[in-house]
Amino acid sequence: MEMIIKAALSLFAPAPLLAIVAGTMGGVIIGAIPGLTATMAVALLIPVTFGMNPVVGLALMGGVYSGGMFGGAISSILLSTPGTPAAAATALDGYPMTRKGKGGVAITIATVASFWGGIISTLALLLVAPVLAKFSLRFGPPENFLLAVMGLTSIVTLTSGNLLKGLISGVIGLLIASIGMDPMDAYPRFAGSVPELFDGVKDIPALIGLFSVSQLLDLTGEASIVQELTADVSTLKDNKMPKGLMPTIARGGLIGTIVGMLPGAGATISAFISYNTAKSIDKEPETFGRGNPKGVAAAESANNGCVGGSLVPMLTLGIPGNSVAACLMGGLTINNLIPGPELFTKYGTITYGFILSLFLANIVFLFLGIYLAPFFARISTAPNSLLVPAIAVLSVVGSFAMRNMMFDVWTMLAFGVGGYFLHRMGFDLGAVVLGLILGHITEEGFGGALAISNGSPAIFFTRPLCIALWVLIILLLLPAFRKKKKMA
Amino acid sequence: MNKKTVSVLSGAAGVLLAGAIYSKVLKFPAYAVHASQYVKFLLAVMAVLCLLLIVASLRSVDTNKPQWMKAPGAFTATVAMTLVYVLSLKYIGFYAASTVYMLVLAFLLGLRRPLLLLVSTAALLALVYGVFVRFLGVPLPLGIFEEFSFADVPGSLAKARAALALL
Repeated sequence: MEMIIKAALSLFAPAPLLAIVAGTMGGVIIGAIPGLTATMAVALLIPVTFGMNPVVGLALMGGVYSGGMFGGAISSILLSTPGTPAAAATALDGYPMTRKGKGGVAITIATVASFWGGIISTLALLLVAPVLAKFSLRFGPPENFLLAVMGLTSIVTLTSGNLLKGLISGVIGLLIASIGMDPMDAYPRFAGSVPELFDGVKDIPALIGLFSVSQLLDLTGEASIVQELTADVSTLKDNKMPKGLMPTIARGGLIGTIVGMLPGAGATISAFISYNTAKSIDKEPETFGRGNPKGVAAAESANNGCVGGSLVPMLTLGIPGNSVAACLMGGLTINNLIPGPELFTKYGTITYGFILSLFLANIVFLFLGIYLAPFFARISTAPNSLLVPAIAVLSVVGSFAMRNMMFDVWTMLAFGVGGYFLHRMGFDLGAVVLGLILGHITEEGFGGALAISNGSPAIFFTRPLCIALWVLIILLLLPAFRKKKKMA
Repeated sequence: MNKKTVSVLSGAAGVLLAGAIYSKVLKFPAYAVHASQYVKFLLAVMAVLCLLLIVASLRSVDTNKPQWMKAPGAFTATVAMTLVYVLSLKYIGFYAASTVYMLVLAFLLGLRRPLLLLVSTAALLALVYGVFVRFLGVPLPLGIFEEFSFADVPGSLAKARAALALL
């Protein structure tokens, strides 16, 4: 406790506070720009923070991480262009809200949900990190596979139209994810003589194409994104938080924290699981995908819940929960801070200072989001004749910036035009994205588990955690199938 | 073509695609057992789902026509301009190509507010330059302007003068 107080006091100096504010603001901007991820920004900051006081350097990186995770929601809600893959689930209800002239409300919900998600996970990190880390170590390949399956079950609840087309869309995503070196034999599947494909189809260009480009092609036939703008334009500035969202937010924060701790899982899968759960247990599931505030709250609380979650195994065991946590670990090690028990004893002031800086980063983006929501929302009233070329330019830069390759720009365009026509044929682009993102985890978990069990699939049904995950999967699927049957 | 026919045809296309990919998988080398097993499983699921889609669609009575494009002219202009834009990046570079693309496409889509368009284009390109080029060091393609480095303004001006003198 004494160490926590010391750490808190060390933060209340101009340099750390400035680092938190600047890092969070920078993170929000980077997160909102398609193609730029928090991983990229934190990785770039490692050499910058090298000469800094460790508390200031880590606070800067923590601010970028928290801000970046929230920033992805802004473009996702306003332009259906997820700034980061983790914000893909946010677009499902956030963009329909913008179309109804409620972009300001959607951003406010995303801000508050992200704030509470971040606070819940940081509290978990602060209070029970060592216990949680031990639990996360019990997840092996079979459990990771079932976790990915749990994410894939979202397809059933995500699909609002033809369920068969939704499932086919998910398989299309999984097949696209299978392009490139397979994780077990390292055989370059379907890559032909294109070396850029040996590493597989990159998530970001595909995501930008499927969500952003296909959407902008749709917008060419309309004057403005907002479709149901009432005579009173001031409704756009409305950013009042709807009531009754706290249970969804709390649940999302917990899901994000738990899934975030599991190496390889990450914010995207947790956002979809949280969205799926919220839809499955809601009394009006048919309103999801059409601008239900709970959809935004569920997705955003979960992806920000991953921030603290991913740091639990990183700080305690040296196992990063995701790629940003891996970069942050780099930031720790260049300061000679080796993950493990010593971080919480010998270097407790720095470690707890870093954890407490995440609380402050959450407060910074809470203010930024709430006060700037009405201004951000005005983007949705800009004429489409201006937005369409502007989004296209950002999509091109965002795709190119991942690997500095024109190949990724062409990939993005192919996914955009292909996705547009798939959508017009009644297929679900959200399900394609889900398959694409979860494909790697699914295959690695599947292959790894069978390698452990010498090819016996019984491993998926005998381990206690696997059984618990099967129960959860069935519980998530049952209501969705019942409702689909009723509708039929 | 109505929605029912589109669904039947897309199901049939899915089955054919699964078959075509399967024939490719059969040619995988013997050591790539895991690589082929996983894909074979996915292809089997895909084929079954597509067959079910065909059966379900044949039973359905949905004779509505799908709306492929809301405004065919604007759609075609956007796709064509975007293709030309991406192709031209290599030759005239990001900044010149993006400026022309923004101005021409916005005009084609009906924007008639030159000041708004010019300010927005400049602001967007400035944002891209600040965040992507200066902060992240992304080497955006410069095409024929490659020689005119922003880091060496006097040198670039001298080169520009020399180029103008040649004209």
